[in-house]
Amino acid sequence: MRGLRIIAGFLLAALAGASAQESGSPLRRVDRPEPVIAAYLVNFARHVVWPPGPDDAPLRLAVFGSDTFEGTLSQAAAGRTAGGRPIEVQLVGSLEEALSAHVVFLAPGAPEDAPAALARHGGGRLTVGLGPGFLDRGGMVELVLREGRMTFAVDLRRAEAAGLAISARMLTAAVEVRR
Amino acid sequence: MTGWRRAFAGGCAAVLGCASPPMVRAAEDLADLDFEALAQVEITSVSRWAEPAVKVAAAATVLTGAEIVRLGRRTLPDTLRFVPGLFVGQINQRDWAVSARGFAAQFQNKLLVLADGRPLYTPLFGGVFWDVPAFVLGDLDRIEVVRGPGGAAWGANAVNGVIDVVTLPADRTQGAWVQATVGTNHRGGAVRYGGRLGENGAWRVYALGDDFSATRAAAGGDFGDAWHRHRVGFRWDGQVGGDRWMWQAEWFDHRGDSRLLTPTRAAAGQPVLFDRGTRGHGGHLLGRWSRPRGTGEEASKVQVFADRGRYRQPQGGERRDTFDVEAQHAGRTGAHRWLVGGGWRWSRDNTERDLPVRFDPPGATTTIANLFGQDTWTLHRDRLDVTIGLKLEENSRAGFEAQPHVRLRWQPVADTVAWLSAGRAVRNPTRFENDILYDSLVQPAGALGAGTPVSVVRWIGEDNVRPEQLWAYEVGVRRTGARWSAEAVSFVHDYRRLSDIVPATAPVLVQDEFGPLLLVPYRYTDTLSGQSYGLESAARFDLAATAAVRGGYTFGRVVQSTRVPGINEDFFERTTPRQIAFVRLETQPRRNVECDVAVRSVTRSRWAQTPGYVALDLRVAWSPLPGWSVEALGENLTDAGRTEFLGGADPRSAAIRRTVHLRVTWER
Repeated sequence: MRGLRIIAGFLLAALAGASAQESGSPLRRVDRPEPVIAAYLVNFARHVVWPPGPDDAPLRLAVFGSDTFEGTLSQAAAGRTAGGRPIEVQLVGSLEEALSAHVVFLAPGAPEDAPAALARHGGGRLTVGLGPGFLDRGGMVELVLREGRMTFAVDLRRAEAAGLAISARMLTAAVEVRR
Repeated sequence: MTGWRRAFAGGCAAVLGCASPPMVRAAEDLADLDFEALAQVEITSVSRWAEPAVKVAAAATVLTGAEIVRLGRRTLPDTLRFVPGLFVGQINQRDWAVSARGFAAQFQNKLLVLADGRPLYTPLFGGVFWDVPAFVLGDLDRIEVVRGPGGAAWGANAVNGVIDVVTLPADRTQGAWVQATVGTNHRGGAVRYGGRLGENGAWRVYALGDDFSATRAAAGGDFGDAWHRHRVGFRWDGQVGGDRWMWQAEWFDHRGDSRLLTPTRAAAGQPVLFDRGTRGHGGHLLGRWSRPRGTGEEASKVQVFADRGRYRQPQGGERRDTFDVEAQHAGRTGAHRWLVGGGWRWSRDNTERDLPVRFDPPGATTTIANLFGQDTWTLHRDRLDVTIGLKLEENSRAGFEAQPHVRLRWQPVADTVAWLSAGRAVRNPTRFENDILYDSLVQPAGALGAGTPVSVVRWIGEDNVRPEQLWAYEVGVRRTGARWSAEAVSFVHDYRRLSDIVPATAPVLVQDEFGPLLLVPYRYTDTLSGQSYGLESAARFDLAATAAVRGGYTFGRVVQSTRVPGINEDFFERTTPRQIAFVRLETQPRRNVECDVAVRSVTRSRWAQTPGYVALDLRVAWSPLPGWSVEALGENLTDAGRTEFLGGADPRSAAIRRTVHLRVTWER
């Protein structure tokens, strides 16, 4: 009986506390981050004004490091375009292979200095990675998981130095923009 | 497909069910969302960050928090039925037999079971009192199950597998969460509230209670196994600079009916009903410090816990105090990823002295110290690596043991991984093997021939029982596509020095307080050896964005051999069923409705001629409003009463039969 009373007490306290709490019901729920990251990567590709390339040449989206997507990235990119160009997904195993891509996602397992090294190789390439700390390591867009939700921050100076223009829409959505 | 889905929806519409926010399956749906909507998608697990499933080169299964909720089970062992390769047998309302790779028994002793890194098994017999662990369903991050020896990084007892229940950090369990379950044999409630403390800290408090009513005995009548439990706890997670801290504490209380017919010396020939029930209470305090590296991998970790508990069943019981500290450091040097660490555990028990299972000495203290190291050497970039590990363990009772393992991982293409592994594991003798005194059979005067006095078969523990030893070999392959995944693992386990109870010497005539007694001593030995082999497979297939099938099939066999005939001579051969299978169909006919069907089957076992069975489970879930979920849970729907597993000490069996429960969950 004592246990029941303790539980009843907890219940009342929780209800009282809950009524004072703001509610934020999620729209959707996924059981792992990869599909959300995949959707972000496709969205990033569409919100960057890319230096002009050959007509209809695919926009290459590379994953450098461990491929944890298990197909979700290919699925997200399938049939979608960025600035009229089809999006092509590839898994790369070295810095050299990553150089030919437009968007490089530095997955866990990629060298720590990869974002800075890619930046040294010149422009035209957006680097995306997992934070915190990715921007400090020379990255351009950092995805951060906070309380079960994925948000992102942008280093605009570095993106502009690489010759990329990022849409105002994307900058408004970022939780932090370093100018 | 649409017609099929509509038919299914129609079938489900008659019943109420649940869905919290809908689970999104396909990535293409998410790619249509804008940035604001993407930032609102709730991600319920990050477990794969540590090691993506496709890359893990082990017979490992992770049930995510969302999957556990969707399974809709009411106890931990019941949830484990849906982990490929695990055998779960319900003995009665409270007792369970859970095992991996054979050796099923109520008092199985070859699994390392943990909750947030704290062992749940008792060194009394090396197994788990499965009625004790209880969790707030909404606070579970994942359950990780590794079949086979745990390798260097896991603690003592990781012989046939490791089960680790991991709860969410407090910042992921903010706000209120309330759940109530009512049905044919269980009433339960759980409540949690979480808040923030300062800039970088979060906390939660929780309480839960369960009230289980008695099952029917297979022979008719009440089995006398009604019981209830309560649990309260808190967890705090915080970040100070680059350091992460976690503290958690829990207290539980447990009380129930149980009856046990057991022979006693005092009433020879007439087993006595011990019906004083089961009681337990206890608590623990656990703290953890970790310092993550840039990419989020934890580089250093120190964990310490103190645990105190009492558990008393009709046949025996113990009070136990445990203190444990462990530290590990993970790093990377060139092509090497390495892990080193060590731990020390102190455990003191005091066993119940007035119950049939006694120990000599009644109280004992054991310390275990261990050091471990593991190195994963990448031979070819992300395609081929080899892991070598070694654990050195010193047990104050059993002495020194080395447990090496080696594992070769080959990932020829991005979506396929294959592995080969070999390793040695040991299980230290428990208080059962070393110190037990138990009269397992008492026969009245004259039973062994005219003029013979009362005779007693007494099990006697032996100090010189050596640790059980396992050499395990495994080969596996896993392939993951965009909409499916499949894996198959084959293993051979070679056991030496398995413990047995054998007739020791000729019967001796002794005098005790009741008069003359013919004592037939049986002693614990390590004379048994055995092999087990099997195939474990699992697959998942997404039929559509709103429907998926997953299943598992396991074939396994144990072959025992011995030099000395004894009690366990062919016991595990008989308790281990040859085949275990399950299939689950999960559908989401409407945005806020989930409808899941499961069929599971276990073939017969020769232990007490337990027949095989096929069981049908149904779950319908409905989310009428955001934050609300109503579930109808039906289990064993086709069964009017079956014996699933017979307990070790109790000759009676309980009837496991259909149950229907209604569960309401509210969160905000």
